[in-house]
Amino acid sequence: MSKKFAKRSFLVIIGFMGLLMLGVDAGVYFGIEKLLQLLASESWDGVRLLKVVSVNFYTWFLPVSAAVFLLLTLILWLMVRGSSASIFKSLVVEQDVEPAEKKDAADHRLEQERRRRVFLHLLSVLQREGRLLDFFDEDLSLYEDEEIGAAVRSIQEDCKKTISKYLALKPVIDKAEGEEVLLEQGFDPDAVKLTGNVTGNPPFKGILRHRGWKVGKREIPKLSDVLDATIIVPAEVEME
Amino acid sequence: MGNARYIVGIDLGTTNSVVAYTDTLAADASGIKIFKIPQITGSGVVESREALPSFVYMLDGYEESEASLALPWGGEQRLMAGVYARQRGGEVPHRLVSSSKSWLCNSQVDREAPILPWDGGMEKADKMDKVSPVQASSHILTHIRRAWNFDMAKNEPDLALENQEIYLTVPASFDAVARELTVKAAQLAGLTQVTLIEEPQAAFYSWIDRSNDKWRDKVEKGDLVLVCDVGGGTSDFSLIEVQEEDGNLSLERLAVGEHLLVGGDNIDLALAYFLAGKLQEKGKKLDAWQMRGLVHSCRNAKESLFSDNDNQREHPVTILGRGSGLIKGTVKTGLGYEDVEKIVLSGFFPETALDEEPASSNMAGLREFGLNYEADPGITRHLAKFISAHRDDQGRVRLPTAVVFNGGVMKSATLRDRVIKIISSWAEAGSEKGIREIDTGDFDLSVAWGAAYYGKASKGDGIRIRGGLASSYYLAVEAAMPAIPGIVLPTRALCIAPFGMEEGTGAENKTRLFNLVVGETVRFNIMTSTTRHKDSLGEIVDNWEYEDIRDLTTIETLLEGDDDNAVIPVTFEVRLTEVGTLEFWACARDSDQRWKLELNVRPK
Repeated sequence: MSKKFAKRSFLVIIGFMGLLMLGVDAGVYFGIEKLLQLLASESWDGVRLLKVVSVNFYTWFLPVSAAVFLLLTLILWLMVRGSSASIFKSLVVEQDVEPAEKKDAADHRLEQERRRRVFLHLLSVLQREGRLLDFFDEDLSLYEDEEIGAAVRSIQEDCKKTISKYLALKPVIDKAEGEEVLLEQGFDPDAVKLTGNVTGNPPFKGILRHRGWKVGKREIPKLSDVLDATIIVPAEVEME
Repeated sequence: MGNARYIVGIDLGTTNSVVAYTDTLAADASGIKIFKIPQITGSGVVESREALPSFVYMLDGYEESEASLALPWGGEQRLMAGVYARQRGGEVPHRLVSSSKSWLCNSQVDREAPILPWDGGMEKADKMDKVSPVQASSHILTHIRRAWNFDMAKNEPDLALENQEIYLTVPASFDAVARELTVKAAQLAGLTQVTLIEEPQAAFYSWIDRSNDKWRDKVEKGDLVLVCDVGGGTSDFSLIEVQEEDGNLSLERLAVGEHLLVGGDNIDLALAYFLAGKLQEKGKKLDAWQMRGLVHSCRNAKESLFSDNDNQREHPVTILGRGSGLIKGTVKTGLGYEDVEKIVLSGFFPETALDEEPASSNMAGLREFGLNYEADPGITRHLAKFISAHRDDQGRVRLPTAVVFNGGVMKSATLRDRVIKIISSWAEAGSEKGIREIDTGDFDLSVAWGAAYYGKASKGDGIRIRGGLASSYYLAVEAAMPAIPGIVLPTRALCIAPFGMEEGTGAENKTRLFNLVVGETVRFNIMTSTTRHKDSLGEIVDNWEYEDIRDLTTIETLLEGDDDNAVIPVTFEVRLTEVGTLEFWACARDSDQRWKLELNVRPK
């Protein structure tokens, strides 16, 4: 950015100086011509000098003035760069960083929306396939057990299908509950929770009270980025 | 094509499409895998499934936001295929194209005209762009191609699906026009090089592959294997004979059945309408939304009741109330085993005598135009007709000795036993041999799997079923009979392509000459038969309408020549291409000139 600024300031200065030089040289040229016309009869030293300048305008005066202006340009540019570097530094850096942070923030928000969607997705599938959320929303005190039972049968069947399709649940320990289980040295304490009279070191012997659940499927559906991730199931409007 | 890395089998099904492939560079060249097809399964959800439901939904712009229906490979989308297309189609039926494959073999409509969805856009206000049956099938293949190129090829051109060796399955009962249109649909989808293979054969190949070359121990010379494929929308039968050649077993496909538009979806619907009728008696009328729920519940009930034989109690069927009135609006009824037995077994798999014929449609007058659903849903009656049409030299019916089952409906052991039992009951009259079931292991994926195996087999290692042309083809010629004013001359059928003609060969009938006029479009009527296997080239059948020969379509060409109205004597040649399509040629007798006659896909 500072390099870009240096380049830009150099171009601006060169342009400005070029214009200035043109103006000055044109002024000098036409001024001398006018003066020579007015002072044609005079012949003092000044007039002679003017004549010398007028005759050598293109071969001598123009190159010299160009060189002088170029030198001035360089000096001016170096000065501007030197003095402004410190001033622009902070400004430039700020300009540099602001959009990137904005982008990061947008990415972050998108990422969070995505996570939210993945988190809510299973719920949305359970609602879509098995009407689970509608069921949770019911006030069961209004209905007879038989009515509830009829609805639950279908909900449970569909939700069960969905769960097995998406998660392919299987027990952590595939044995009947109540059976004796032997836990060797180095068993995974995250996968098996010990309760009751836990003392000493493995191997442990115990009774299987709950087989645990683990997911047998690793696939996660690809979810596209939608505008509003909070919508789990859209409202339905039927056209008559 | 010679350097294709993958051999791909595509089962373009009526209700589900499946893709299987094998990698020729893999260490174990035998492995066949199923390509899981990414597809939209819900609003904003893309998942990979083993099957792509063959449903095409026409998007209208007021669907979910574009982002939520975007596929990972991008591109503008006007049509959507797959799981979510099927679901949306249930909610907005007039935008759904289903069974596009069955439309491909419906000769009553122009199959390249935009006519689908058939009952969509009745109201003038709804200016929906329709698609043709070819386009709809092509979209399913396009989805598969894009999915493959995104997932498998990762945009590497060498691995792109269009550069692989593709075997596309068609029902054995597809006639020449339907096969031609299937190839066209593939071309439209960018798959310019495909080879067709018949579905029942593919199912058989799948069994050969999965039996790890032990299949030779399980069949013997003289076995006649029935492939019984009952899918979601169609049923298809084929007979394959086990023969012996130089001490090795060989296989020959003897016969294929007619295209039957009856399948598992009909069963679910029949059950649902039965229950809806029962509810109506109780004064409960179901709306369209509840009816969909009912069909869904009936499918579950059917699967559960048929999954094991002991489960002969009533299966509860519930339709949940809509919206927040979930429990209050719930309609509950039950599907008893007797009901299911009555509807499914006696309705679709009735006990049948071998000489029983399926009831034909006696509906006089107008019949609703659309797909030609079978008038008789009795699948076993159609099977009886198929089996009894194929006889040995002495005119005796040859009964199958083994059955290969395929298709979602045949997953049910109860139904498989039923079919075996019925075929066995036919045997008692004649042969003493029992009939056994050959286990293919899978009823949904076999066809694609077998197609991939066939691709491998045709490279050298593995057995091939000899098949050839699945039906015989005839040309209508005028009867030699004096013209009588006011009477249309009857036509006779001239056999121009005999049954069993092999791929890559042709049949030219040199004895029969036709005079064609240059500068005029010439048109011939083509007929076909799946049962007349004995007709040889050049044979003439009188009164063909009563001889199991049916009208197929016309073939036409415009003869271009130097002088108009010149008459050129020609003979006919029919070629069965390596791809599996038929070509009709007119060959000039006196020169080397040849004209290809195009199959007409419009109704006559």
